[in-house]
Amino acid sequence: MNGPKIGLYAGSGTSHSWLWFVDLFETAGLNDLVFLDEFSVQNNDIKSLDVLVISGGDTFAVAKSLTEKGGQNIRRFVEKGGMYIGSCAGAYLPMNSSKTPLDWFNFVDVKITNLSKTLPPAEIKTCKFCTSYGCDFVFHPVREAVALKTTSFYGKKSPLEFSAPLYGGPGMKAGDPSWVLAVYEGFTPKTSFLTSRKIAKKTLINNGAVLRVPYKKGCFYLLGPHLEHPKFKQANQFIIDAMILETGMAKNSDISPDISNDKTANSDFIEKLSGKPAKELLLNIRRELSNSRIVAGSLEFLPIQWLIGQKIYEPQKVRVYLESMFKRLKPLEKNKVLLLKPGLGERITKAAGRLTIELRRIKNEIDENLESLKTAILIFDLLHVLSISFFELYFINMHQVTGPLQELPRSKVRA
Amino acid sequence: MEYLSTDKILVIDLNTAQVEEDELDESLVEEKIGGIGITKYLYDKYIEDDPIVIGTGLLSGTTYPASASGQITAKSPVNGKLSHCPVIYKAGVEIKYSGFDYIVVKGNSPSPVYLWIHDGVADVADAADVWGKDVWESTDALRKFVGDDLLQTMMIGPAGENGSDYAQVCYNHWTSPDRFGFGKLFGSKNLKGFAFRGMGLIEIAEPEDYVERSLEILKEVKENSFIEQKGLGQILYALGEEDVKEWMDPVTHRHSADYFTPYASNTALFFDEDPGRLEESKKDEPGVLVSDVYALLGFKNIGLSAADAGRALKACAKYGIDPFAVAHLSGKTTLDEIKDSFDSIHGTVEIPGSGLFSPWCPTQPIFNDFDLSGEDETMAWWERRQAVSMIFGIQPIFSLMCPELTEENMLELASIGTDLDLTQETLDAVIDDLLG
Repeated sequence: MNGPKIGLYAGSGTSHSWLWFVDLFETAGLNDLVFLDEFSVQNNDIKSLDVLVISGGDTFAVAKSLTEKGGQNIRRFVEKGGMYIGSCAGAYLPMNSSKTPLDWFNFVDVKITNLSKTLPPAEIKTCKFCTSYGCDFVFHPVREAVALKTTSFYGKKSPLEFSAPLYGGPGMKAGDPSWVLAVYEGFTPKTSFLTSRKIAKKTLINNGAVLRVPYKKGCFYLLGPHLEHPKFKQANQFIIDAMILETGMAKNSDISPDISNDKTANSDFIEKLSGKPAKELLLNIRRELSNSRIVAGSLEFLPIQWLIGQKIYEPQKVRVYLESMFKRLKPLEKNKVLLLKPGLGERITKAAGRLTIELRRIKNEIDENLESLKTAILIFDLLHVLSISFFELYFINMHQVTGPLQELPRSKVRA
Repeated sequence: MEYLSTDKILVIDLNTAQVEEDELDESLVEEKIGGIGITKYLYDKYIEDDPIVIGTGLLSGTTYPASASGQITAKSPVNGKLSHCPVIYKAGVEIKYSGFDYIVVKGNSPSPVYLWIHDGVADVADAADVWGKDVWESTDALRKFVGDDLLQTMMIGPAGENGSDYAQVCYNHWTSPDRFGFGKLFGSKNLKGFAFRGMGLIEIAEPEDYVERSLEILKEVKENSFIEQKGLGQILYALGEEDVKEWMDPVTHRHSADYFTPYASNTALFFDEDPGRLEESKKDEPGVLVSDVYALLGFKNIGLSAADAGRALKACAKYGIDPFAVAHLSGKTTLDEIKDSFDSIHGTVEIPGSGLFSPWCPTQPIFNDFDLSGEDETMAWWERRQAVSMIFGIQPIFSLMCPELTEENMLELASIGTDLDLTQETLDAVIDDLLG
């Protein structure tokens, strides 16, 4: 097996940013990916992983979905040498908190610098400015690209400077300064200020942007900004370099993948589909993804957004999921033989078909000025189910042709 | 075929609702270039199945100016001749974007169907819910069902379902260049029509060179003074109908262009709403979009007001009947009489020249003279110009206006775009084959 086995949490509470990790890992040739929902974390399917990734979303919703049991499993996973990468909401999650359900994930002594009992004045009136956090507020002083700089603890002779987008992630004060691998160095021409520059500076600059918190045999990587965003190649490389470093460590530890419980490793659990049935399955998937993305495209013209949990969801997010799957159909269609677990094909087509129905329903609800929140919640749930299943299919098949861990291409231009 | 193409030919058998896909061979493009060069080839290939062939030009949907057109190639059920009808507005390019360069429809369906073509998928769908509905109702129903107002349709109305010789295949809500009775052909096959939507990309062999040359040509086009004008009124003025613009001005709402076409050759008439209104109308059907200069002129010449001419055109669009035939063959002179005449029209719509191309497109140059003299030379030029437009996918009325769009630069762009060596000799051979 080449490269680490990576589990990506894509269950309840996540937003679309885990799809950026999918792009990042695939570009780097890391195709041994497992897509997890809250139940698989609760069932401890993470124990055979080398790396667990929890990306952006609604921290409270993620914590609530994973439950205390999920928290215990994550703790055990890291204790035994696993690498946890938390980006944005995934970075907030393991920080100490007194609030349930966040207190089920009290793993690291890190303080949030953008937490306040009273809200600073907002420069731009936007619903993305703040989120309630128990009795306090997490506020977001800026959005978009910010400048980062590595510290002496990063282990390179000279510091690296690069940028990455901040979409609600934390500024951090570490219990131990040696945990800080990169700080917020400054702002960029693309930084959008949601509060005054002065408050933004005080909240972020020289505070932790990327932390590595050792935890028994493993570690937590906490990323304030989205280093995985596909437009920030240097930031992407930072993550890959960290994974190369940490998973090398993992191999020397006593963590050992539990092969017996890993169905993908057992060929008896894999069906081979070829010829007309394979073609028909992929055509059915294409049909419904197309139907969905067409109506999702039209939703983007409508002035609507939904508050689900503590997070605002715009219609544009629907298409991010769909495009992420749609663009991977062509490579799959080139495969003459399709590998899949029993029931997976049916699960994908069923979820995709239902998604089309619900998207068409919500379009009608909006057109007719009807309440659409309930349908929106269902749509995002379906997107999670569908994309987890789709990526499972995709990576089972594409995994056959992957090479070793590699550096990211420095520039990739497609006409 | 890797470039300027989806690489796919769709073959649909209406008898069985079976759908097959063929690859578009590069060798076929090298021999026939594209558009009606290939739709005619496919028509001949499947001739035993009385096919309807839908196609796109080689440059359709790109940055080449006015690369807006698709085509329908079929045997006219009225005169029995093989004919080519342009697909205009935004519908022509949507065919390619939806994932297919060419679509062959064979046989007859046992029950009414429509074809839902999207992102490289073709669904033969039950048309029970739209059969019997007019063109507007059908288009609206499909857009609502699919959940997208940008859906592009090619639909027949009651005229086509009832087998009228003057039945048109309409595009979205509007009348079309169809003077061949293709609406009747669709109806005879129990084919209500097509719905297209796609978000596909077209790969180009040398994208930077292609865009750069396209923009150079566009710049040359914009240096020609005709480009400052717009709308049907100006076209009719240039054709010698000097008083039409004044007649239609009180109900003229706006002019709109087909995809990436520098001249707005469609004019929207508002007769149930103030045409000076700038904000979006609150009325569902305040007017009609007109592309047919001779139909509009025909209604004027029988004495209708511009508002009533607009109402007549709207009624034709809904019924799916050729408004030119209605204006010239109904013998009626009032709006109500005209609306009641759709099922009782008799007579022949004359197709000029060799009968291949629609006289919806004026049979002479517009705005620029192209150095032509005499009727024969003009007709020969017109037929060649139509053929070239429909090989490359150029808006056919615009190509009659614009000398800057030359066979040479179309071939140049096709070669840059495909990385194939497409020569004037090849183009001449394709045109000879088409014109006979």
